[in-house]
Amino acid sequence: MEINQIAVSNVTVKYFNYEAVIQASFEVKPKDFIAIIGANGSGKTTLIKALLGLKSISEGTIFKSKDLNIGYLPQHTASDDRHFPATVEEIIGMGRLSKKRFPKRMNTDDYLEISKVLEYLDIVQLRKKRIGTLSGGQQQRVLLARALVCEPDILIMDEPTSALDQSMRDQFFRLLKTLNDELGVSIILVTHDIATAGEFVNRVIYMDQRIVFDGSFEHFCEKKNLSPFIHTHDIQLTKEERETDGVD
Amino acid sequence: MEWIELLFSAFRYTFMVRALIVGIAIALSSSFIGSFLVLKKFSMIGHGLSHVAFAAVAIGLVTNTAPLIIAMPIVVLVAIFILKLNENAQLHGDAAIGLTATFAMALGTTLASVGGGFKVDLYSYLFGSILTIQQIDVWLSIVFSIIISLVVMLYYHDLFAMTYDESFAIVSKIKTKRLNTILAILTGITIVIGIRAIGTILISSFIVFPTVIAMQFSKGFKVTILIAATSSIVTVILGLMVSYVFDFPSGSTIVLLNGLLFIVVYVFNRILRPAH
Repeated sequence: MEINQIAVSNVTVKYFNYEAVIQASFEVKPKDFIAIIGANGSGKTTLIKALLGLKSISEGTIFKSKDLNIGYLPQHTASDDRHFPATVEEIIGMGRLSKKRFPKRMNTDDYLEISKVLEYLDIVQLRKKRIGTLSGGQQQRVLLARALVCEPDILIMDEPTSALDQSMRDQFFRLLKTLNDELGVSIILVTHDIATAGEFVNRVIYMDQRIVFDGSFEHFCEKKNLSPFIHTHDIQLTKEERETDGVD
Repeated sequence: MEWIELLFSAFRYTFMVRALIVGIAIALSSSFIGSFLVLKKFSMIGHGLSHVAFAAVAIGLVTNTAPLIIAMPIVVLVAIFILKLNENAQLHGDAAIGLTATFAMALGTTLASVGGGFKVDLYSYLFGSILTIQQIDVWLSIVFSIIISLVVMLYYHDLFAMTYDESFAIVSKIKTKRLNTILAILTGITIVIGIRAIGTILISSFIVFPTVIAMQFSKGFKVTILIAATSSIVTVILGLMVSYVFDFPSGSTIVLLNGLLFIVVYVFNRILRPAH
């Protein structure tokens, strides 16, 4: 029997008296690739924050398996300061050091691991560049490298493609799918772009403060009652297009 | 080469040597701390705390207690208070700093008015006076700058992660609240050890200028800190020499040199290296 990496049970998260997430329950199994979707204010990001320990929960429990190594990828570079003086190598090193104990120091193995991840993500040439001088897509790859360099069991992402154009989104999701297939990294991501993500994920969780749907993308597309909330029209079109193209 | 001799002749006097040691210690501590504060967009805490230091010095003079002994705990406590106000989101950082600074300034001014006799002393704390630096100030500044440098070196990677991406730092189980408190305490200490030589009005510039100057050159964070510390030490040494030769106030001369250096590197970057 597969052991759950994360088990969320009846979790409620409040901002003062407002219940952003109500009685949410779901499990994450190894190699899951989950898209959390929903309208603005539906509690997606709050749920992610609760999983990451960035927001405390008011009710329920979140179980994480022992020694679960979580990688985190924010929506965009955390510092919106284009002049923030940090090189790509320093940013990725941050991920490597995150699992070390005091006093933290970089060693030869760490630099080798950074080289490997840079090669894997095809961004070797960016190593000594200042983070703020990179394009949105390049910055997102650097943050992905920071998450990967600590060899995570699971990657949790909050709208990682929101700053990317359509071709970059496709490329990014393809990369995530490769990580999921080749390295066995579980992935949970919040996205508004279910039309693109649907092709790659094995589960969709649809939220409207509560978890309204948890199942496959194909099953989600059949749920007509969810269409008022999300870009179902786009999804159907995409599905039809994919069927026409013989992808499915 | 007469002018070089004249510049270096400044350090034949004990009070100038003391000023040099204290100045370098403050330059080192404030540029180390400043790199994190500026990039966290929290550098105005230095400005706010310098006003609190002014009020604390006034309290010391009214109660006839050594002003720095009174100022140290008060400034450190207020630093933690500002941080907590900010963390709890009841008040944003700049609002918390604004109200604390103005309240402290009003308190200091009122105390100065009540205890009219110490106005001259208070003036020396406002703008700093290297003539008033005692041997104990030299030792205090050396000890605290060593402590601050050690803390920054030991916690460098955690401080860097927290400065760049606090959410990532929390997910990585870095104790961000504890680190922020340490940073606030060290800022308070830096402000207090600097008020004798530089003055409460000008000391916060030691936190901001070196980092902003270094950011014009550097791509990396570690290099930024090293350039900030170097430029701060150089401007302290040059500022003391110039102030001695031309009989200018030392604190304001050092700050003016920092300002000039910033203008030079900024213009160099924007005009001569626009693609940078």
